[in-house]
Amino acid sequence: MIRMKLIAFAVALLGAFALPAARANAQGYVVVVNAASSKTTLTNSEISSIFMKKTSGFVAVDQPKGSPVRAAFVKAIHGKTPAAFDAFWQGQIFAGKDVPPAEKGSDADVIAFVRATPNGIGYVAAGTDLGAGVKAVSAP
Amino acid sequence: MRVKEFFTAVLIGTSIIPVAANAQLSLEKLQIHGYLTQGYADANGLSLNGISKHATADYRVAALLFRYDLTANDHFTIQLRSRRLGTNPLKSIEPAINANWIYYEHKFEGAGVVAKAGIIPAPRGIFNEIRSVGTLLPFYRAPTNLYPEGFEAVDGASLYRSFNLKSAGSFEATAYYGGFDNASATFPATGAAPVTSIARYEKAYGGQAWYNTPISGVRFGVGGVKFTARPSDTTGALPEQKPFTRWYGSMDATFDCAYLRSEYTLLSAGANTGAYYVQTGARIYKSLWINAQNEISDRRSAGRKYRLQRDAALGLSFAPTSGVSLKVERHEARGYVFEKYLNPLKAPGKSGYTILSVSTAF
Repeated sequence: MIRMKLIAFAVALLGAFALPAARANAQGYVVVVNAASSKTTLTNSEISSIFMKKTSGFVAVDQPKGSPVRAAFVKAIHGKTPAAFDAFWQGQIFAGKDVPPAEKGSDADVIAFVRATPNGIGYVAAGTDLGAGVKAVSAP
Repeated sequence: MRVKEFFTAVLIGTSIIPVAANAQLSLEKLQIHGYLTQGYADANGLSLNGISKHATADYRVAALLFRYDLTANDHFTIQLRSRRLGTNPLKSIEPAINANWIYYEHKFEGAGVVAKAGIIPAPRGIFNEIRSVGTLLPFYRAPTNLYPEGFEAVDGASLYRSFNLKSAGSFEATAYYGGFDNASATFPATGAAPVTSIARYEKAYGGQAWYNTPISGVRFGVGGVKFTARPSDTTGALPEQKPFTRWYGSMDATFDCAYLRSEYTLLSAGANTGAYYVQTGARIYKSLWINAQNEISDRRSAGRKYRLQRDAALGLSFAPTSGVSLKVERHEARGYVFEKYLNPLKAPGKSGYTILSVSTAF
């Protein structure tokens, strides 16, 4: 009986660690922050606010327009099509309100920026080697 | 005139250089955006909105917007715009290049407050600030009765604040104070050439508020502005005129596959002029949209109310990318607002017009 409970606990523990990674793989992207950040989890709503510049405290960077990882991120986090999301930022720019997060050219560029920026945040394709100085944040 | 305007534009354009130099010029801090819409328009009745029976491609709007980040919270923005207005008499007083926005803004970090000073885009209604950006509009232009020529920008200052209402959505409010120019053309009953003028209004104070509902894309807005015409003499002998008041109400529901928008405005200026429009559209195939709009304006003067203008439009727009849009639209207009004097006591005039346009933005 005790053995069964231990096995169940071990499976649950494994699941708890494996789930964010599995979710990220299913979504096609991983949200990353600087390793020094106190954040380990962020909700989709919080991530959306950060990338829409409605929340201060982070410096977000985006992926190139047309990239699959950007399309997956925009759909999952903002609940919009890439075209609708781009239209939102066009409206912000030409209404003189704000400009979108800077675009980086690749996953490596995003990671390099986040690594060098203590309050940096970005996202990369699932499975990308993050290396030192950057960590993934998961859903709470 | 053109030469003077050109040099003015160059001077204003180059004024960004010393500002940037003081902040140690860095190209990484400079962003350049722009848009262009080229139209081809033809009417089969009375001329209006610069469109006559003689089809024209002299119908265009383009702008370049330069934004320099002095710091993370301080920005300098200048927008240079050029327009071609077809047969619209205002083309005679339209500068070749117009610096229609020049402002400095400061964001108060963490407070949700933004202050702007200079020539700032007037925050009023859904379309004023983006009225010329073709990739964001379902038709060539924003509804003309609510967004006529003039009062696009305010020479003065504004203060914006946003409030996060968490699960109840968010609230945004902007207050502004300053003055603005209003270009207009009048058509003498004698049939003589139209008279164009630029009136100056001062002591303009107003505000715009938006409630963004928890449903993404659905928002409601209200706004108002009070302003006074500057007497045309320079001696101060003429008495100041009674202030004008304009009110706005807006509803906007924009989704990925459809939208519905409606706005109403009331201008109190001796005669009351009320105008509204309903605009709707749906995506019918991938990036192809069908758009419809009906806009109406009424005037009440000396106890009499009459229909000033009605413009009903149907169009298709195709946006293969977010940076390109192709449109074809057909309008049927009936009323008294044409490029010709029409006696409001007699039968209204009418015209149908078609616009083909291509827009791009980056």
